[in-house]
Amino acid sequence: MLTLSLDLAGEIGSATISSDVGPLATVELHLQKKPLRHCARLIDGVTKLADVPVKRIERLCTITGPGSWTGLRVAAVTVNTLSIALQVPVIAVNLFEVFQAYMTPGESNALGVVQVSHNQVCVATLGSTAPYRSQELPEVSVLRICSLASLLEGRKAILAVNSSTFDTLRGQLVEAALVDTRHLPRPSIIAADIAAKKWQAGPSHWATPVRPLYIGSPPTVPEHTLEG
Amino acid sequence: MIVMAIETACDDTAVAIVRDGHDVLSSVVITEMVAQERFGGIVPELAARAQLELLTPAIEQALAEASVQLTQIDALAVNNRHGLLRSITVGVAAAKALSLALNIPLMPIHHIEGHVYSALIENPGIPWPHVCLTVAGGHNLLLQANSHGEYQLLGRTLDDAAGEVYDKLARRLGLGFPGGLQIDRLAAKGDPNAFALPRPMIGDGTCDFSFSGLKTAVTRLVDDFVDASKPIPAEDIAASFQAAVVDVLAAKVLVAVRQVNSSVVTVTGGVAANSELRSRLSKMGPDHDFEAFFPSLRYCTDNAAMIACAAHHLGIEHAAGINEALDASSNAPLGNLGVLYSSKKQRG
Repeated sequence: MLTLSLDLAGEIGSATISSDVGPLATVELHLQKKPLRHCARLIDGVTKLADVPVKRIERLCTITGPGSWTGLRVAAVTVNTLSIALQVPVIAVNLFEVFQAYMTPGESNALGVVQVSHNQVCVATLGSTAPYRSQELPEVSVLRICSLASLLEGRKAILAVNSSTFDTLRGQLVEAALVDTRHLPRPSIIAADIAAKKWQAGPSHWATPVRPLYIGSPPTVPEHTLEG
Repeated sequence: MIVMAIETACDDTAVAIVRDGHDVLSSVVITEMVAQERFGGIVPELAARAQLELLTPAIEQALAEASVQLTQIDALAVNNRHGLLRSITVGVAAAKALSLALNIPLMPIHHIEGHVYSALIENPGIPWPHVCLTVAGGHNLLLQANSHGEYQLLGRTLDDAAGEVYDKLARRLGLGFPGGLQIDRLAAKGDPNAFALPRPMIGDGTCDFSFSGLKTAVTRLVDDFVDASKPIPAEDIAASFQAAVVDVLAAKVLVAVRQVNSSVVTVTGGVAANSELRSRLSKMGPDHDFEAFFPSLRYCTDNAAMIACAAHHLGIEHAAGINEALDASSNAPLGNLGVLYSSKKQRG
């Protein structure tokens, strides 16, 4: 199946088209805090690079969080709408699921860190077991960046943070093994692989939309009352 | 040409399918109410989250009501300017995705321009040029609409929009949100001469408005009753307040009509649904040689049919290429005018 995978969760956005044998093409752009401006450009670019028209896409997936709320929202709206237009399923992938896939077999006790705002990060302990099952994901904590250094000291950590945050941490932490996700395969590539495995485990109907994870947000309204 | 339009400028999620600019095949408007009731108004982040949930059902409902398949849509239109940025972002992202999937043009439309064209949905023969009074919770303008997409600014509010003041008074009186309809109903039962409220800038000869003083005056009036532990005469306050607002709006329309010598006035936006304003301007028209046009009530408040109508009249040549930086903007110039129209002070 041809899968279009979209990631607008962080500083750099990416889109990937994968087939059953692996990724066909990936395009990435610095979003410059304008995910809306670059989202269609990413999709258009990757479909042209892979020579796969949008109409031929058979499955969609997107990173639903944690990350920039606006980026997550734009990605979710885009894939949900494409899902209706193309009548293809859409699969949600958590960014920490992608981080799990970055781990080498048997590795554990590493930390995954995702910057969600200028002073907040989401942190989770990563293990190498059951990397593609979201229910196995560890609990996610929301911390201030200033409290991050003491947590990371002497550990391995995979970080999806702004370049300035990464540089600051690297300067403070001598013993930690910090891995910048910008030097790893783009999350959209890994997400496409995870989506394929999730699909094999349990196909979903094409009309089931995905929702962003607003991690770090105060509790919101539980239910919607609609008028119209 | 069949146009599907998406409008998410504020808290409404609206999708419409319109043929040839005036044949409304469907117009779906869904409003999220729980957050409004809980917080007494619109919370932009919560509005955008709700719109994300509601947009795809709204698209499906619009298609079902119109008995149209997505493949039959010729063009898309979306409000990408003026409103809550997070909300507009949701609508534009969806419109771009549809444009990519269906390979059809996408026309970006200014929200206020949509309101200007709402009068043409049911009256496509309204002659140009004409004067347009567009009043809602977020804008308050008097324009001369010279031709499609060409406007001359006659006046605007220097502070609050009239619709915003309606909402504030309704909230103060505990009538809920949005307040326009509640105040209008209450005012029908009250005495418009019960309280002497100010009519700001009514006689200054300009087309500009100012409603912040009226807002303060009516709020203090309510406070006086609360402080004195007296029952609030809500009906009389609503009637007096509405009379003040309508007096100002009607007077400014007269100034505009005389200034540009126009015989046609369109009144659009949420406040155009106000019964007293509709009645007053309709009666004034014959005495002052102009005819007033109002959209139906459902096209006064935010809706996507007006966006589709504007897109049809402005023409497919205004479509944005998908690789162009079609972005969302909370406050952008209208049409050929190079100034901004936020309801707050933007002068200079």
